[in-house]
Amino acid sequence: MADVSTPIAGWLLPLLLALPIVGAIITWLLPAGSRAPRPLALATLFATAALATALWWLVPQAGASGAIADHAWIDEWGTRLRLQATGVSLPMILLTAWLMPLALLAVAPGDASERPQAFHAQVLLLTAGVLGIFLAGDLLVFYLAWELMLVPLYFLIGAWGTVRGPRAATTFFVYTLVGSLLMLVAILYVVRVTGTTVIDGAIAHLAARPMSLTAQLWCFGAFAAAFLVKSALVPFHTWLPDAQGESPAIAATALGIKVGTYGLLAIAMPLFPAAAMHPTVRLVLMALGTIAILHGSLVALVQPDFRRVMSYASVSHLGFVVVGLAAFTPESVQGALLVMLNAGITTGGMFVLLGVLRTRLADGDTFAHLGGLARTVPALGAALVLLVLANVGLPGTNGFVGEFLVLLGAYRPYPLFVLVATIGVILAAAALLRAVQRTLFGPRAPDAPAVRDLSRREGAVLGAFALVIIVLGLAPTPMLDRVKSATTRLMQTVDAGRTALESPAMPVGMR
Amino acid sequence: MIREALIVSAILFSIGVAGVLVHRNALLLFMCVELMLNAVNLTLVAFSRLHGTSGQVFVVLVMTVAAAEAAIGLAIVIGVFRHYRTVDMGRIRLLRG
Amino acid sequence: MDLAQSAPVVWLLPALPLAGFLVNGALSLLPAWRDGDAPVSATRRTVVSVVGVGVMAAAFVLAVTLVVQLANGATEGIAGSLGTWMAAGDLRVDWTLRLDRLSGVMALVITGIGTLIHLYSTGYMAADAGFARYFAYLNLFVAFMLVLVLGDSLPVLFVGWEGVGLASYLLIGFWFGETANADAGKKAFVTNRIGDFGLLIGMFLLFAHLGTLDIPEIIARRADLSAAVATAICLFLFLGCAGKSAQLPLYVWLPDAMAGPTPVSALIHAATMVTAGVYLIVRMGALFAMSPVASLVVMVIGAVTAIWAALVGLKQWDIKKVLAYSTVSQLGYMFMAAGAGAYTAAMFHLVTHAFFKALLFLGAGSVIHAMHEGLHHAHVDADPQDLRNMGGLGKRMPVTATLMWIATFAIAGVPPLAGFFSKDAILTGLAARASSHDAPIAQAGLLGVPGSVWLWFAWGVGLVTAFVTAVYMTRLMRYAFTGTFRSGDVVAEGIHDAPMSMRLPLLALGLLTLAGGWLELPPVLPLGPVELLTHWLAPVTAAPMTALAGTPHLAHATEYLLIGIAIAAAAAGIIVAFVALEPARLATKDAAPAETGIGRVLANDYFVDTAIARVVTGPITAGSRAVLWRGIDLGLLHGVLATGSATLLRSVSWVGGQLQAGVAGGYAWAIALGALVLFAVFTLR
Repeated sequence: MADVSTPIAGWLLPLLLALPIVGAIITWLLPAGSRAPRPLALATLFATAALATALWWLVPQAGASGAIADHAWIDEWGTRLRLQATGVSLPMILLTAWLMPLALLAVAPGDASERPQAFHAQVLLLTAGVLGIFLAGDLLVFYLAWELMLVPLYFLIGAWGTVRGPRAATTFFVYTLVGSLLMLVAILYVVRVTGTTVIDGAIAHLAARPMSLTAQLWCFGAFAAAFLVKSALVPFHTWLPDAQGESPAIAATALGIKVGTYGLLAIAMPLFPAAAMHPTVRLVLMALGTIAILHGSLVALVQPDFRRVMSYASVSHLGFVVVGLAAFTPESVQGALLVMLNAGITTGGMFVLLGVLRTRLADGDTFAHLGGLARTVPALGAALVLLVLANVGLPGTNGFVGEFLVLLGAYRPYPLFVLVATIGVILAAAALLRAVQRTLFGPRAPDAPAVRDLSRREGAVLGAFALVIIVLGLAPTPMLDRVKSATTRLMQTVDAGRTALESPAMPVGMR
Repeated sequence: MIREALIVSAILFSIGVAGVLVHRNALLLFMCVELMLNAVNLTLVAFSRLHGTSGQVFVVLVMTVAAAEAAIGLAIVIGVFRHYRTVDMGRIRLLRG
Repeated sequence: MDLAQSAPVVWLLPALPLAGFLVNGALSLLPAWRDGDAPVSATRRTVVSVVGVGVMAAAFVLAVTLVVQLANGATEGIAGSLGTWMAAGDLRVDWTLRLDRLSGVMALVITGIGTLIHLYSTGYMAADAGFARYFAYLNLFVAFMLVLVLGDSLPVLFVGWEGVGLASYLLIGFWFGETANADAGKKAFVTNRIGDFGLLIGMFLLFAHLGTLDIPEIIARRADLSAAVATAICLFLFLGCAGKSAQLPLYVWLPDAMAGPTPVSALIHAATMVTAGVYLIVRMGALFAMSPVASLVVMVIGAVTAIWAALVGLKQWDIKKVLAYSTVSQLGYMFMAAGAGAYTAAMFHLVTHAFFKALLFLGAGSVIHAMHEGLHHAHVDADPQDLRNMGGLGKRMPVTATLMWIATFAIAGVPPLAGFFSKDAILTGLAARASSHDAPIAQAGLLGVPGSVWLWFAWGVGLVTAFVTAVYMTRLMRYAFTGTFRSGDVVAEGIHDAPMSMRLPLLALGLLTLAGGWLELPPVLPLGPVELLTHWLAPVTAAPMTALAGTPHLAHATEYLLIGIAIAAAAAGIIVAFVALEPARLATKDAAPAETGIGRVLANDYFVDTAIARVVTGPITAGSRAVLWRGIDLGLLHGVLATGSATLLRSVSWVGGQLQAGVAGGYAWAIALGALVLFAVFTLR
């Protein structure tokens, strides 16, 4: 484990977080009536994205633990201000850093016309929070970022969403908070046991002196509670359709970034490997994942508006991730990471497109008001079809690679579950094509308002999405390579827990 | 001798506590509080028999404080009455959090 | 010759039509090109046509060149790799295409017939506002189809497999202004996906047991599979084939797919996409040869499908629907052959069917085109595709009529047309295997019945279907082309034969139908060099064929007898259609009486669509809405968990709230109680 921060990472990683935060403060302080908030926010976010892209070259050259920026902080708790970018977090960092500015760029000021300073400040703060989650190398930093993410989302959904926004925001806030508090208790317990909150340090400590199985199960359960609620795994997913349905486009897009499963893979599983590899735990996760795949698509089939369809499709994608993590073969774990990345891109892209549509039509995603759009807005229609195909996993798009690897890898350990889960591909196609049908095809009501096709700005953003979808679909190898060594190491750590589980020396009582 | 005094003082104190807990009228509350204070005074005097005059000195202090507290408290009650037209403590919720 | 090296020239084959897609697609999106519903100008049409047809012709030329190169020595095929696609864990999939003898045949059919159909489309779609979009989609389809047949590993094949499904979706729903058309496209895609489920599971099984998804690797290592696993894999793969190739019970999308433009039906739903399933079985023949049981299943389902669809064809009035059910039926023949291990016969019928079915569809397209013009000319609103509205078109469209008669006789199995030879190859193959003593497939058992019995069953079904085929095809021709025209003289004035752009492809296909039989002459009828196709495909198919069926052999006398019976069946069908049907007595579609009895059942395709709606899709949708969404999600989960955690928090806060009620008396109680507790704790310690 390298404790040495490479010189570049030493300033790059903190800057990645500091930039959006400083930008948020400045944007907040802009005078009312100023036209600067949006350009300022866009500039900050794109700058952050550029910095994040620099990580692409940095991470493979860094040590075994990835690029690290380390600073002393609270020694009494064993806490350090530690930021880390590994092969596992790199895809998510890139996703977040690029998704936010693109989403903001595409959806014209419609959502943010009231109090733009506050709106854009919240967006910047949100970006900082989510990036913080992926960059955290210390449990306290992780927890702070985790909770930091909640506040701007609450405001964005509640203040700039639809009429039902405040209620959805409160539900989202309370529901995820309950889970997070459980996680806090588990973090405190880990600190008490290992004496440090540095993630790598805690993992190493627990690898050498593992906690008892019962303790691990409780802690893992607490972390899982927070992670699974936040990622909206069945049966804890009911907040997501409301939140994404009533929020402005950028918040809906951000909600599609799967921070929960990242936490599960990068933190909960290596910290408590025996619990993670326990056959019952894996079985439960497999079952929940499979159910999520089917339930998400089936409910998406009957939704009255497109955003909720996508929300439930998101639930379905998450099922794939959980299946991949629970099966825990090299193919399935790498597939799960890819699904996290790709689902963020494809669902995010869809929410951006639906946001664009809502700038044209007030009630833009209710199927009752759509129909026959392909005639008048063919470019938007083409983008929609491509995004939908990526969502259902058409080979050649990025959606296919992840889902294929997950199912392929999960087949050996859990053939029956995979048999059931693969039915999901049929259902997903049925649900999403129905939505496309209602939106693009058929006759258009003669009294329906006219819809403009994509502007150059919107076309450029959606074109970027399309490009990424196709490139990642046809040539995922560079991404897979970046991810491979980090996932292998992660899996070794967790596998060690599996052997420890079987060893007779494992103490069962509480420590 | 001391024991009887202590028993009397305990009884007085309990009556005082019960009164505070049960009564709602502010003036009655004060009377019960005075009762509690005097019960404590009695205990102090009783023990001064054993341990010297410092007990009686303390009694003087307690009496002084009790008088001051009664004066201020009654002034507050008069002020509250002027505003709310009642001395029923159950109806005054200005401390509500 | 070592072909493991990248010779990416193979990639040029799909790259050419893909380029056509990109160019025409971009053109169709240009704001300047969007003129609402007006037809596209001649200049623009020329540009699109040159690109669209040009890339196809170039691809065909390239295919011919490569096949010639193949003939000159490379038995392993010409492979080309563009690098790694997915590499994770033990999986490694490269972007590799391989043109070997089998895929070479397919590539020639796809590019050759594809070019003809593209050319035809320039005339057929001339008046359509979506001209550029149409050619973009058509090129996209060909690109994916080529990837499908050339793919060297199952995932790459799957890219093409799903890609053609996508192109089919876009093309079936091409005139998306009508909801019914878009729905037909969606139905096709989703039904195909059911098959894809099977293909995926087959892939997972293969990877789990063999650790690879490369087709040559799989075939090389197949001995590592137990018979049971091999059977399972084959059955799942066949599920995929059943979806793509419209076999029972996943055929329901094909009749609906007729909603698309007719050249699309010719290319996709007759000649190429639907044959992908047959191709897959022949390609994985080595696997299917390991499992006689799975092969029998394939054969039986093919047989049942063949007769099932043929009967429906007897009672269809839409000219395209007749051809659609005919395609399902003929695909059944191909699967019968493939299931029985007669891979060459299956491929032979695939090729000849491509010739005459494309000819039939394109001819039908000419007819529909002409009927449109006639009805437009007379300002009459009637169905241009309904046979009852036609009649006597032979006089007005002699070229089309002649060519379609040729194709009809071919499909009926009249010698010496191509269809006769291919159908005969199948029937003879079935009979030979049924009467052989050492064929594993004859000795295997399915559901307790020995394979030889199933083989005879299939042969019998094939014979009956041949009869029925002859009947319904002749019926179509009689109602459309003979007798008097039923829609009135004004309409008849507007009816002309096809323009040259549409006629040339018809002529070309007619020639192929006449001459196609020479591809694979049986030894008993040595009218030229025999068994050309068998010898060509031998490196790929000989071993699996022997493994599954031994060396079946029929005495020459028996063979002549069987040939005679088949010809008799065909002739009987044609005669019955001439004798029993009375086109003169037909009323037009609007005036026609409703069907009754068995006719009604057949006309409605055994009410299969209604059944599926009532038993499958209806309950799923209703169940999802009522139970999963309203009941579980909104009611149970949201009510309990989300609202529950909110209620929990509120109750906890309520307790806290009570402590701060502001009633001083309450505080006093609290103090008293607390003091008591402390007192007790300290006293009792």
